[in-house]
Amino acid sequence: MSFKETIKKLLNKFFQEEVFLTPREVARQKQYFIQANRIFFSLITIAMAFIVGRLWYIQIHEYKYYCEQASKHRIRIIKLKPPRGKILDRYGRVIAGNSPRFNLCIIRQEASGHIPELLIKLSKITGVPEYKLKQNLLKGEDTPVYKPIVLLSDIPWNTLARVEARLYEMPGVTVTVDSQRKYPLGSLAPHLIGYLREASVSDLKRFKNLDPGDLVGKRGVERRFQDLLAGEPGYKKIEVNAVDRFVKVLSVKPPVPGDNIYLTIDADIQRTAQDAFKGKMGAIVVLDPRNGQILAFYSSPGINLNWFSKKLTKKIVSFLYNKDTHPFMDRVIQGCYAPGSIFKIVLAAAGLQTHVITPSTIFYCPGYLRLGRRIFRCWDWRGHGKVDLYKGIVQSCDVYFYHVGLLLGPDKIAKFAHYFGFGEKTGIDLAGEAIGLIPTPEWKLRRWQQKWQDGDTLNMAIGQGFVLVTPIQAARMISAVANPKGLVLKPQYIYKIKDWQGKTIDSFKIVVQWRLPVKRRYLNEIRKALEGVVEDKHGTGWRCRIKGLNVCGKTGTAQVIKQSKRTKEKKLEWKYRDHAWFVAYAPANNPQIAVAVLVEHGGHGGSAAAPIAKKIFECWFKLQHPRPKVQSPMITFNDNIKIARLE
Amino acid sequence: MEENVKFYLKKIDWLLLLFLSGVLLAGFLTVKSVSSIEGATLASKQLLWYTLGFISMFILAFLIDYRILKKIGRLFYAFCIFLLILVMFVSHGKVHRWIHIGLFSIQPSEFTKLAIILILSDFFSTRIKECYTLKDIFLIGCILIIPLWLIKKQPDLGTAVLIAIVSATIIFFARLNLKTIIVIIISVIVALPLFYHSMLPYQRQRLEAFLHPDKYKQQGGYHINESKIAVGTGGKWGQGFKKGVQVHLKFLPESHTDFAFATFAEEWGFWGCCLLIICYLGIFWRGLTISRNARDRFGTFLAFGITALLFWQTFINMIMVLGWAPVVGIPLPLVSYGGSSALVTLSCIGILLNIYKNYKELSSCLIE
Repeated sequence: MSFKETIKKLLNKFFQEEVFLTPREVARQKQYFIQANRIFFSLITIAMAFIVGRLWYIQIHEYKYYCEQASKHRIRIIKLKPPRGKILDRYGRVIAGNSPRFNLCIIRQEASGHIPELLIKLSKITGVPEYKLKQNLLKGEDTPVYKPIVLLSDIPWNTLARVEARLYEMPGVTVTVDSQRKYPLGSLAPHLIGYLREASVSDLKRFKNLDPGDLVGKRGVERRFQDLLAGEPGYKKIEVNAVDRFVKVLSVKPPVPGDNIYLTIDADIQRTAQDAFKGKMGAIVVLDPRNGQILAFYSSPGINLNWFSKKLTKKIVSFLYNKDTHPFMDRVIQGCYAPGSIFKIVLAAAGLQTHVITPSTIFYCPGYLRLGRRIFRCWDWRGHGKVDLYKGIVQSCDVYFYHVGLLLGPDKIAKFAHYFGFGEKTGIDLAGEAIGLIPTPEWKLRRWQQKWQDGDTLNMAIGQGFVLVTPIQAARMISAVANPKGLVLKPQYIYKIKDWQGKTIDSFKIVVQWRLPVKRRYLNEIRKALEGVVEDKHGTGWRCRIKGLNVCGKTGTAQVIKQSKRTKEKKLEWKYRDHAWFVAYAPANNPQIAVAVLVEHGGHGGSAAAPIAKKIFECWFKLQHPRPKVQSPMITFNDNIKIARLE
Repeated sequence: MEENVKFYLKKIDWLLLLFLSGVLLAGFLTVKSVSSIEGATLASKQLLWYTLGFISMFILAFLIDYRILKKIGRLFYAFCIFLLILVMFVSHGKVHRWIHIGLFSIQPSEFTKLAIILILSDFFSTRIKECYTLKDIFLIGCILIIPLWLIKKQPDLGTAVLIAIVSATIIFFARLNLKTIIVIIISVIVALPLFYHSMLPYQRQRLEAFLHPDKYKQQGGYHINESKIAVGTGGKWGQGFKKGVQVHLKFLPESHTDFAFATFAEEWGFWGCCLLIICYLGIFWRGLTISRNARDRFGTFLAFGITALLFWQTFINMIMVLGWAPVVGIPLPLVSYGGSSALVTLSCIGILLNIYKNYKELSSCLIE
């Protein structure tokens, strides 16, 4: 038997078993097959129906859910940052603008494959060691491949030129532009303008449209109007594929640039004020007594806003956090000082209005006032002799006002101090304004558990002791005196707000807070005396005299420590020297500008503060006659900074 | 002459061909759409395979008698086992599924499916009984175990399971006695843990991902998740030809092979899918009708087996795409890209046509 036959036999044995079916059995089986066939077909139909049902569920019932899922991992949204609004002065000169900053970037999607060579090339061009570039690249490891990673930020112009020239041979390398704050006129009114820093956690909660890493206004106008300045961010929807590569742009919503804010600040006056304060500490506010607009606003030592555009160096930080000078403190609204003799304006008005004195009431000044066992000295030890109201103010006779104070009593003084705006917030639209302090007997009892004594009244009468005022309050007071109707006006710094297309959104409105409850003729008496302070030959404020301009003012010298003996100013340690005050307005017959100057530890008001006020008036006067036409060196509104190229 | 032509045309199952062409159209559109991302030659390659498949179909349908297959069947079975062993040695890497011949590659496991159906039909038509017993089942097990083991070794668990299910369907169709049915069910239940144990890690992960879809969204469940999203975004009317976002942004993996149905569903939507499913159902219906009317036992089993094969492939692939089954490498017949699959499926259809023709010839003879 051959091999082939063996296999055949084996297979047959495997497959065949001799079973014979009767015809009946065959017929039965056929019937069975037909039935099984039908059953199978119905099972198939049911199965397919299930599949159709499932399709209906996924494609029609859950359609929206799956579309959302699809777009979630298919669509990415890139935020487009608008250029920040500018801050300008009242004549449209840019105080805080934007300047482009160029960053060297790499887009990995386009550079894939030859990144190491690119880094070597870039290192050669920029002169930055390669490992640093690599570090920066690694930092951006998590960013999607279609987004640029910043290798070097804020590259200088010459590097930029060199990179741009060779950009064509480095696919994937781009230069992106973002904006940074720039102060073309120098750091003007730093405390008022404020500065930008990276947003903190609480900022992120407080302001809308902020992302971590965004810049946000940290104080002043930048913070107060953060939302307006920031504008509306735009969005770019892009489609990416499964490995997160950019495919195409789906839609773009362009960003709306921030609004431009015009301040009432006059850059020239502001500049003059800041120059005058060089090397001195203190504060100055210049107001327009007709409407309460702030023309200048400075707290010295100031902060240089340009510092905040970059990383702060150690030196700058140690300067900013100096415990003696406190550059961060805004002395204009936060510094509380004894007002000294400028408080005599309040006393004079109170005395006249309550009829305890008349303009011609005369007190005798022997150089001191004896009260019980204590002696209260006049600043001039020689005495002023017979003093009436005019002489009392002009020569700032303390004894005269001791008498007025005693006649009035502390409650009335306090009442009139409040009428002049002391001990009240001015309501300026800035955070952290101090109230100051106007003491009353109840206050003393409450605070110190001591009874009010007449000595306290005397101290209060010449603006010493417990009385504390802020420079902005002093400015509002003098501006109210200067105002022909005696209106107390809210100091404001917003001139107008325009959106990026130049449409005015908001503009300045005068806010009258109240009217001085002093009769016009009494006010006129005081005004006359104030003019005498500067123009009279015995006037304490003679250093502010300007040819062609009648200035009214009042000096103030606030003691920092009690001086039992008369000491020469220069012998005294610097931090114990008197604070110098000068409040003034001009011109006398038609007041248009009011100034409050405080020089910390400056000494006598007439010698330290008045010259600064004089510089302001001179500057203002020069600008008035004639006012030079403002040539517009300002950049137009539409110079939107180009946003990082992404196409 | 005219009479002659009419006579021939009458012997062709036109309905089957109609449904077939519907499915083929869907398959071609899908592959054409995907070819823009997977390689431009994809569509033309598929067309070439279709042509080859049609030639094979024509030969099997009209040039031979299907009863020859009964004789060829055993040889074909041996040949397939030879190919399965060959593929172990020829192909490189971890996965031994394809034998590369020039530009094309063939997949022996696809041919094995047909071989198994042939040999089972052979078995049941040679060993005629009213009820089959455990002994017969054991013999069938001997036939099946070698190719199944070889395919599982590739590793291609999906195809192995598919062949097992199709075989089981045919065995049940052949009628078993009650005792045998109970024994089979019990032994399957016993074997399941063993089966799980023998699975490879990636296969287990897929199974786990299927059982806990939320837990494994990124790892094993990625395929299913993307596939469901693709189907879901299709909506009522679909995104349109070549506009399927999931597919063209490459979110959907294997968009031209195992997940071709997801591609189709995304581009043609619910109604497109319904049409496709009706076409499939039509093919199954024709297949079962042919099985019922076949002139002999072999034809009955062959037609039934082919229908069962097509059905199970379609069903498993679809429920996998729709997230009701773990990811297994079973293509959707005639829609998924794949030369061997298309060739085998079209050959199967050819066999069906042949059985139909034979039955028609017989019935016309009887009428005469």
